[in-house]
Amino acid sequence: MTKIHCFTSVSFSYLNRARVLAETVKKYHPDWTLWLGLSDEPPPGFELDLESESFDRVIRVQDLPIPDLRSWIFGHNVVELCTAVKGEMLCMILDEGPDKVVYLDPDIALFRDISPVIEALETSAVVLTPHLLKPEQTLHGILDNEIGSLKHGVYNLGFIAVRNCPEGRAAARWWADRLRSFCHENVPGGLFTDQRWCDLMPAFFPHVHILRDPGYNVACWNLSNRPISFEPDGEIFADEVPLRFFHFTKVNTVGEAVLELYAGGRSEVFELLHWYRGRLSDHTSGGIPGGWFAFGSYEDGTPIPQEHRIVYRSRADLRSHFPDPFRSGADSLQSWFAKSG
Amino acid sequence: MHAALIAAFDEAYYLTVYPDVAAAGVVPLLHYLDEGWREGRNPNSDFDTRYYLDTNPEVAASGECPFGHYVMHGMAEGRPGKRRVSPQRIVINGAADPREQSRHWIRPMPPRLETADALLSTLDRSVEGGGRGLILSLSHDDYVEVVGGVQNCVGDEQRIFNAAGWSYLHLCPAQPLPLLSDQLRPDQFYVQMRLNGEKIGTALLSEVTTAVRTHRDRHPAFHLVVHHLYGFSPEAIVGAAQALRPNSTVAWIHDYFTLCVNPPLMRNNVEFCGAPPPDSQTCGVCCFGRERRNQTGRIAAFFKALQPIILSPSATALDFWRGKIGFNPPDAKVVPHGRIRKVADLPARPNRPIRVGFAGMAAYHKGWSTFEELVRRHRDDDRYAFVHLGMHRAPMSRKVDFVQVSVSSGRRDAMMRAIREAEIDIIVQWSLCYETFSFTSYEALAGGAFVIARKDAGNVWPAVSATAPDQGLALEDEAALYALFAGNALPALLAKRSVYEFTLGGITADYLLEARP
Repeated sequence: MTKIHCFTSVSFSYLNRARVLAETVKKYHPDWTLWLGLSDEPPPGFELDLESESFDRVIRVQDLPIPDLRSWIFGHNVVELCTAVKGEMLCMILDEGPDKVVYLDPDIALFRDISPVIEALETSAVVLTPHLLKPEQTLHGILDNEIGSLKHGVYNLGFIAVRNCPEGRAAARWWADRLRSFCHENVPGGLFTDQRWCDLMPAFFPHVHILRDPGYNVACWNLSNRPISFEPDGEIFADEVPLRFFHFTKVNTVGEAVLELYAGGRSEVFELLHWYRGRLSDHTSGGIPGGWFAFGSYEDGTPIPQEHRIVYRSRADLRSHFPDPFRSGADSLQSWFAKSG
Repeated sequence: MHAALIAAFDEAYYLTVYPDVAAAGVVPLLHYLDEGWREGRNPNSDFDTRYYLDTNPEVAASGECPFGHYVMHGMAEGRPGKRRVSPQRIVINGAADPREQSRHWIRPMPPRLETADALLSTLDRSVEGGGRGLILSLSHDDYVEVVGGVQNCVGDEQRIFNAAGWSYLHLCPAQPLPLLSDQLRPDQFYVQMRLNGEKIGTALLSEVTTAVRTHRDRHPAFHLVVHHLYGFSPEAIVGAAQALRPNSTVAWIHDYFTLCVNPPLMRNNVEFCGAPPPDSQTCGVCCFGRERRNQTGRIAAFFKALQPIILSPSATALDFWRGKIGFNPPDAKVVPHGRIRKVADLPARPNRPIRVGFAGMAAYHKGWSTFEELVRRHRDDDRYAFVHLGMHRAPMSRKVDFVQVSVSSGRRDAMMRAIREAEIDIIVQWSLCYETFSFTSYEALAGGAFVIARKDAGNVWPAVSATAPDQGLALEDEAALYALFAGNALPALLAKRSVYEFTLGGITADYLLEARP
């Protein structure tokens, strides 16, 4: 039997989302091995109990073969870190020997099986899903979604599937190597975390399959061309094909307002959102303070400004002088910034 | 300053909403451009500064005035200036799992409980001097205290059975619930009782069973009628029925509760779902899905154990229900709640605006939002006057007249009288449900009104088209409805109308007394 491993990547504050993802993956693919990729340290008093989770395995940022790990972590905000680890985690999971590995963002929920992806990997090494499958029809759509794709990447890296073959492993290794040094939110500099890198993938690797099925990775950025509908037989469709998975990128009121922009006056997508919020609420455990991220602040609790991360990661002298940049007190990076203004 | 910006800014609005600006004596537009937008103030009633900044992060990042961006660019690019929340969205956001909701339903049990002996003597006293037998009737609440369609049916049949010499014992759960109760035995399930319309207290179902069994030794004719299962443990009913062995058991399809815990089958309360398979994706994201899966097996076991005769108020409802319930009932009949016949032509009405009515509860699932939209579109249109006929006034524009109507057991014809007296020309019957009978459609015709119906609203259009095809029109969707009102076709449609007479039926009595005299 084909061995499929699937993983996601979170900090503790996204654990509830990862649990909803896991619940839906296990529902449609009970035989997959599910990994929780964790780039965080638990809040005091909180312990992750794998026995009571839908995940089978955990892989932590601390497990990754990255030299000067704390220094490397410091160079990333929470989004950058949780995306930067995806390449190394993919490589490590491939090393465990599964036939295929699927990555899904924690804020995705499956609505039916995604077996066609697994079938596509029989003849390809990598499967990617583009943000957009049809040209936008409005100026607003062009500005936000088409130019948005040019800025942030053609493919949405909330999903990637890789076959454990030489080409698949080579693609994973190449991506992981780039993410080690260049997984930053720097749109003017041509980077958007892990995502823009994959624009290069179909050119570098011949067997990259671009999945053009509108049922995969439906989200606010493509909703205007993929209206959600409920069919009489109980199926949920997106753009008239079965909905496979929805990417709930933002579930707060701002996210809801963005969905409104693209829902074209239809309300079905808000039923999905209402359901998702209910599942999130059921999967939210006490003990994790809102917005918790262990690498979000200095030792004394002061939040780390993004500017500090940018300066630190770009200066070898600072990295060499302050090997533990999170420390507070005398002769710390924090005090150096305070003095330098 | 750009002329478009000056034109779009509503100075009067700004000064009314922000009296501090008026008091400061500054130029309102300059105030907004300098600081107002940063404070989240709005330049007119159609632009929401905070919303625009939230939905356009690049504008927020640029530090540009959001209203300026909207007027110069956003409007032309199709960006909304204000959040538009549809009635559907409000309904969806309120959708809740009925098990969660039921926590608010819990009420204390009455301190005094009736015993089997006391019940037996009450039952025996009720048939002193003869009596043809006993009807044991079950529905979800107290049909005397609560006003509604099913409750009126139960009240009607109680009086008809009593008049024919039958005793009528009605039971409802002592603890009403918006779902089935937990699985309980008859000696664990409490019921509230009325005998021939009189309240006789609360008791365990097992005590009722004991009393009825003894009573039957002397008065053997006995039928069980299940109107509704809300709040009941079907297992307790099966236990009682197996002990009592009624001559016949009847189960009504007043709504689709036996298909789903949500009787009108409105997915997340927003749209008729057609009862897809309980394990479907749709049920997976519906607030009623989990409870539907919980109850499906219990309902099937109930029907299998009791093998009731199924009675439906319309063929439309029966056909739909049969296609979904998953088994073939041994016997099923259509017993309409009433019959309608033409009695006279409607005299011509003087030249005046067409009076457009909405009959009944101003609820989303009954099509109120559509009626509201119709009013919004024509509030300044001299061709129409809008009227709401119902029990409670809805928050609505001043352009809607309200006529208070309560259809209760003593005033079953109140709605048709009100429609006639208010000289309503059109009833907009835009129910979003798959109606099993649609009293209001019959009441509209009896009141002399023309019925404009949503085509797929269950028995609404079959009822109208079978009775008065010239006095109604079925439309596919809201767009067709709005087009009809925008155009000039209505006066011709309304020209030839009749007054009909609606006669209430005997509900279960129609079937039982005719089938088993």
